[in-house]
Amino acid sequence: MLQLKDVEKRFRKKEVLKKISLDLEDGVYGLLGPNGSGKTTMMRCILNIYRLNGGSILYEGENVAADDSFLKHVGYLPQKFGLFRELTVREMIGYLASLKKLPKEQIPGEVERCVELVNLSDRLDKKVRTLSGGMIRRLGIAQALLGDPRVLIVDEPTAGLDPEERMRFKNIISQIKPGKIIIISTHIVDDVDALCDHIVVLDKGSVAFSGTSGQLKELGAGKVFEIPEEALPSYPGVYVAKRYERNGKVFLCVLGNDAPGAVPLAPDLEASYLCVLKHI
Amino acid sequence: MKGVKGMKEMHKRSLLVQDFLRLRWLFFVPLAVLFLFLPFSAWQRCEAFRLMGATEPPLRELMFDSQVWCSFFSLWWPFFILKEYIEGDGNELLFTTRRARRLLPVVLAGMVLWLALCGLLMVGYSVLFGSMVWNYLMIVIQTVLYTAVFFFLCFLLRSAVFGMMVVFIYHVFAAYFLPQDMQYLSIFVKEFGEFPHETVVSFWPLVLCSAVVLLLGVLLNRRYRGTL
Repeated sequence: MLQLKDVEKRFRKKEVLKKISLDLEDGVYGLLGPNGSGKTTMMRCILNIYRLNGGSILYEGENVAADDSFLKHVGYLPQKFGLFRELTVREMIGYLASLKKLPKEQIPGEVERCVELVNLSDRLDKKVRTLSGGMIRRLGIAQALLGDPRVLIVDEPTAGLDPEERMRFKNIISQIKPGKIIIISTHIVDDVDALCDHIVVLDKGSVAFSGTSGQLKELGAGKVFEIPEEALPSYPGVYVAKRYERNGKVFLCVLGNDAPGAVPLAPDLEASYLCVLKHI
Repeated sequence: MKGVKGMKEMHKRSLLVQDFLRLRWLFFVPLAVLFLFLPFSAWQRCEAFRLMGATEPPLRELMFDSQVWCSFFSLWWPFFILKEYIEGDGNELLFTTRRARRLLPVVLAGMVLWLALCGLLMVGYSVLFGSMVWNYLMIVIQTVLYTAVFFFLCFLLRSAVFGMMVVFIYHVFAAYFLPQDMQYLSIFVKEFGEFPHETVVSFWPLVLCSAVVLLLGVLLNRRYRGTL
């Protein structure tokens, strides 16, 4: 189990994480939140890249800041990944395996296993700089899987990927998730819905929601409505979530506690997520 | 180095060796400068002097050239090795490892290797032109200073490129553009004079400064992950 207990992080005077407490057991956790909500900072605190200003992070009861042995159990894919472009895929993963202090005799087999998991076996002896953006992301996942870590932390894994690559990524996660704690930070609510057992919504450094996707959708019940675009001035307190056309007419999906005369809609995950962020 | 067996079995080497191996052809550039360019340049100078009627080799020019090129290229390997750690895309991944917080051994290994190779060049020069001991000691002092300053600046400026640029700008000014009355700012010795040991000893404070700057660099390296 990975536990965050009253975790606080400040940069100079700016509070980025405010007493965050979470208990993470086996499963896939989607970390949702707008830009600047603290998702990447939280991940870096777990990885001991940042020192905490308060609270603690425990893995199996041991403080992760006490020594680096926790990192043997962690695989990490940062938001930007493009290291060692002049090396081949094999050399790059092998170098990272050496950095992770995997036994030398195990490295070749481990490299091939991880690269095969992400369907890049045919690129083993190609230079990293010859790979497409999607392939480089897959390569990033491969290096995160070195040593079969118990905890996998992935920051914005599908940003910029085409639908086919996003589907591939989801398949990989589904394949490897048994017995692991996987934390995926993302803006893409659809990916969270498809992949994650649990969702954590961060807003301005605090946990705004923690639960299943079903529980998050329930929060939006009775708060999601459809109105014609021209009727918007009649609903002054609502938040416009979406604008769309149907049969040549423009409609708005709005969020609010009260919208008399509006057509109620069943909340989807995105609408409910916005309800949480907008405190509706 | 595509297809070389050594690269395929890179993982069997220590991380230190792997850092040099991953430079590929870039690894050989300083060696080319040391064992091709400088000797060729020395030969050219000697020929030019001979054609002008000189009977003695141009020792001043040869020693100055060796100081200028050897000191600058001492940073080549550290630059390309550190660049990935300091400004590579996704470098925070590297800083989840203990090694990234202790990069001094890599830099020192590069410096020691470079000084050993410069020593070989000086041995060759000594055979042809006479003792180069004092010149070699100056190269050691210059290399230690440049390495310390570069290592420190990499973490202070959060960029290996900017660190290199700062050193390069000083290097060019100190070697070629300082006015005569400001030569005290230069770490290059153009004339050793009658008492070369006194000239070299006068640079000892720089060695102490280098040690202090290196320690500061070590501190900044350890704290660098917190600034990512």
